[in-house]
Amino acid sequence: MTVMGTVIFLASEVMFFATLLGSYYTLRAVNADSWPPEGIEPEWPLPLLMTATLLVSSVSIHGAVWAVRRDNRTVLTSALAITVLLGVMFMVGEIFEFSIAEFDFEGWKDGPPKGVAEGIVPGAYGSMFWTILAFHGLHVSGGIILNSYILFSALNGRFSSKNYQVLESASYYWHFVDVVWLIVFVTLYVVK
Amino acid sequence: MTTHTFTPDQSPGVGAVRVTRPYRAVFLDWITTTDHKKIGTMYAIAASVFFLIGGILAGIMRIQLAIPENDFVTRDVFNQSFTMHGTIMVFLFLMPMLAALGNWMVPLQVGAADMAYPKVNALAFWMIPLGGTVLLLSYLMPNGPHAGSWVSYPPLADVSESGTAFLPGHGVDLWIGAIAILGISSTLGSINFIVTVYKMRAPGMTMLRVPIFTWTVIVQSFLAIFSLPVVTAGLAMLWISRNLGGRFFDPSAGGDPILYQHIFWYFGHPEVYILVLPVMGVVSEIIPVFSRKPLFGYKAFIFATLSIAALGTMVWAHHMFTTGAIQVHFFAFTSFLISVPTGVKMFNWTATMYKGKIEFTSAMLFALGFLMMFLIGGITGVFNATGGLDFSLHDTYFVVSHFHYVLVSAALFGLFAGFYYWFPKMSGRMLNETVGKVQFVLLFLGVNFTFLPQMLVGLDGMPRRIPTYTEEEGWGLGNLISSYGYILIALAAILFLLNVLLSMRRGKISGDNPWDAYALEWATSSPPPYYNFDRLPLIRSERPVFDENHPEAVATGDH
Amino acid sequence: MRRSPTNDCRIPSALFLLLGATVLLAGCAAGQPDSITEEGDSVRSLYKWVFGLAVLIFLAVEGAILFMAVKFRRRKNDDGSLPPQIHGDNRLEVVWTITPLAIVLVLFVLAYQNINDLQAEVPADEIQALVDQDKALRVDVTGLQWVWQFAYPDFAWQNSEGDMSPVKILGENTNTIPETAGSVPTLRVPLGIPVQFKLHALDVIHSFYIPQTLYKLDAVPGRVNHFEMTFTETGIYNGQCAELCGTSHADMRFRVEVMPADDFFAWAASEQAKGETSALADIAAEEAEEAAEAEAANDDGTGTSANDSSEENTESATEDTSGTETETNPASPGEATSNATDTGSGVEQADQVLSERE
Repeated sequence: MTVMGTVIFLASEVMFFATLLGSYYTLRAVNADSWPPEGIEPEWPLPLLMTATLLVSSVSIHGAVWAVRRDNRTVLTSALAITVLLGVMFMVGEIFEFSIAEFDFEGWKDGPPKGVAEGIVPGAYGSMFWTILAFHGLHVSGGIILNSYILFSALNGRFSSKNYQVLESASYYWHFVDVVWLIVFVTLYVVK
Repeated sequence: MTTHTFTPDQSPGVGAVRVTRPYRAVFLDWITTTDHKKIGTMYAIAASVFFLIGGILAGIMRIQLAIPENDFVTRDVFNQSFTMHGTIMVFLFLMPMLAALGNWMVPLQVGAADMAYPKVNALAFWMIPLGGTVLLLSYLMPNGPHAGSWVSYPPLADVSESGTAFLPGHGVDLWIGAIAILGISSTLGSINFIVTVYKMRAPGMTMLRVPIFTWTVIVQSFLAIFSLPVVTAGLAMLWISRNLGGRFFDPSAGGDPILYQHIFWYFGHPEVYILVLPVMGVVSEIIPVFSRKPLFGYKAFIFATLSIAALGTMVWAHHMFTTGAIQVHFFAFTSFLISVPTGVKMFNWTATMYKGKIEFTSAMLFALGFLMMFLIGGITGVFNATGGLDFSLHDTYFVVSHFHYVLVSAALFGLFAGFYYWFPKMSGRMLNETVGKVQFVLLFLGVNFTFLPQMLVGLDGMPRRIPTYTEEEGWGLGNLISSYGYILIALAAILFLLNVLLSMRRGKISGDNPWDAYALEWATSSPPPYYNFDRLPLIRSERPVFDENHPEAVATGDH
Repeated sequence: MRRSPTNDCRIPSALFLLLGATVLLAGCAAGQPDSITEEGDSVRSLYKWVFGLAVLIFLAVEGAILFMAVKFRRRKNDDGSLPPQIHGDNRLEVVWTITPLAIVLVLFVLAYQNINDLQAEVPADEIQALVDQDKALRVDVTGLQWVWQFAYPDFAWQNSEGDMSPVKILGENTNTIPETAGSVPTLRVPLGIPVQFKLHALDVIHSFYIPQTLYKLDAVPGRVNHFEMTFTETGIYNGQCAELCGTSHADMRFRVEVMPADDFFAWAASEQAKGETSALADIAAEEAEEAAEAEAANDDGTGTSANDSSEENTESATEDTSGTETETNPASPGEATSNATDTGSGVEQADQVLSERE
């Protein structure tokens, strides 16, 4: 029953991100000739690495579900620990992205970079870019807290092949966060 | 008739607790409860409180507009009043009140002991007073509450290029916070309804035997899940714009104010169906019972409900025809189409009465009132849907009148019908029928006196959201009549409140099934015990209690 | 079985009938104002169709509800037996799905043509030729908190530098202009030729609404919306902002004066001449002698068929110059026309001036 509730909840989350991404593509269409604005070229190598991290963590949480179905507690706890760790690595990467950014919601942090005219500001692009990243980051952070809680429960002996609904729900949530990241990555770094 | 052993006064329902246990224990019991019936009651109480606040705000507007160039309140207070009136009536009265009925009746109608997630249910409820408090806190803020109407279009609700807010202060921010909280509450409630119905139906209750009210609650829940997050995201963007320098809606920085309107109405139009569909469900419970017949075209009705929901997500831009940024033809077409399933419902209700033996109880009168008023709301909607006519009618009092005919018929006629019908189940006592009839007459006159003149001044060109108008425009008489009509509606609402308060203590003991009604909630005692059912009848149709009480109809195959 | 015998259907049925009749009478008496444009006539005729159908459907359905309710009420001598338990009829469902569908399809065809009528405009490459022959007019409408401003881009008198757009003129003002808020400017338009409106918004969304034209369109920041109308009735009409735009939204009124085309262009030509004069004067005497300029304009501004408007124009020009010193072209008559006056109604004031002179 928890699983069904989670799936419906994730449907509402899909609508939330669909709205943000839809807004991104709408504003991209409105500003077809200046998107991303001059002077901004999102660097893809780090995000690609982050993508890989998140993909692997999706596999590991699936491993945890696989293990709990067979009551294999060692694999369960280690898979969960790996998931939490990879999630944290992803967030470190994302915070690094925030820290090196030249622009924020509003405009350039320290004036326009070399060769870019004064009048060109990231404006709507910057707002969309950071809002999408930030909301995804919030969801990952929530997932890390959830996964840590589940890890501690598992270490305390909770969950068995007869009772793992919460774990399964958490894994759905984590897969969801992963899929959203793939779309976000493609949108922000590939399609642009 | 049924064989349960509980009498109303021993069960822990509404009517009984006050006499048996000390005050403090009762209080703790209520605020920590996860029982769907008590949560339902608390939803109803919260919604009633907010209804009174929203009603007072409406009164302020009606006094201000009663005569031309009135100066009863300032322009800002007026703008705040209609903003808060709309927000409160939609998010803090209608949605919680429907949640109250849903919480009470959905588990009972499907034969479950409680909702699927009782704790989530309690959480969802407590977010309502929280959200309401956040919203009302804005009255204590330096610049007062939000004054940019419930649609909160940027740039008005946003900041200007230079960063100063068009609506200064934190009214808008608190408003955004409140809507986010209430939206999450509603989403959680919707998840709960869907899982309850999907997983916890009694044996024998297939989806095509689920009572029609529960069906409409499910469709409503899906609509809420697919539309509320959209506005949450949109409002998050608005909040970022106001507070963190976002430029989503600022054309000078590549943003687009029309984008917000798309987001808002993608939620805003389904929201109308979120508010109306369950009320249609209520009416579809009542009309068959008091016509002594089954609902005509049960399956067609479900199909029509699903079609309305599906079409309802494709018509949002008919609120934006005058922005000049819309494909008018397309949205005019889809908007027209919605009238088809709505018409099917109207015909089914009418046909249900055919060859019946109609009993004019208060519940039935209010249900008929709903049909008649909702028809006016629906027909005036066609005027707006044409596109061309909407260019003259948009943002005039015609629109105000149109959606009040829809929503007031839902909010007042439909909900009063529901409460006259289900109050015996909730409390074990009847509401006073004579008061109900007086109240019906007052409401029927009140609604038409209030909103018909608004339609006429709207056709004559009176824009909405204006605190004043000049005498030469000739809208004085219509507005004056409308303001008198408000008094009738207020009287009807107060009468209802008194009726509930008095009937809870002194009303006639109702018995388990005073109406000889059909659905499963009538198979248990009134009020139901904590765990709802001692026994369940066999469920072989959408009317299990009817089948049990009228074996003669079943025996002839005439059921 | 406990059943309360509440069979009194007299109250409800009498009430229903009474209110049904009231609603209907009110509906018939009501209606939109008579239109003053060709496009409005199209809306008006659509309205008649929709209204007619609406009345028919209203009568049929409310009638059916009332009929069922009264005819099949439970009688006093009822034996308590169940009526026939009819569960539905698929053929009927099909009938009452198809019938409304057919009705709305017919309505859609009408609505479709009407939308096309409203959106039809003189092609961009032809409008200039028409404007040059005085067979069309272009108007720039600007909404800002909380006043409307009007300018005619094809008449150079609007400012001293040629074809400056009204947005540029007012670009300095971002948020509020308290000294002009609440003024009621008058827009003059010619009768019988297409008038193309371009809508600009400087701060928030406004909506340009003249009830008698049965049309409104939003002025949205960052967009230029445009539409075309051909006026068919002379007279002075009220207009008002129809999209909530802040505190004084209700005060954002204007008037439209529809004049015979010959009168309009005569008036426009005289204003243009005056504007050029004052523009030259402007260049010559830069910041000084502003009051004198207004005087000069006043002296010139007689002898045309529409001199009441020039009166108002000069009146407001005087006030403008004294009020705002930072304006780039304080004495520009076109701008003065658009700004009208500070207090109350420009037209009233102009009338007052006129009557004083008489």
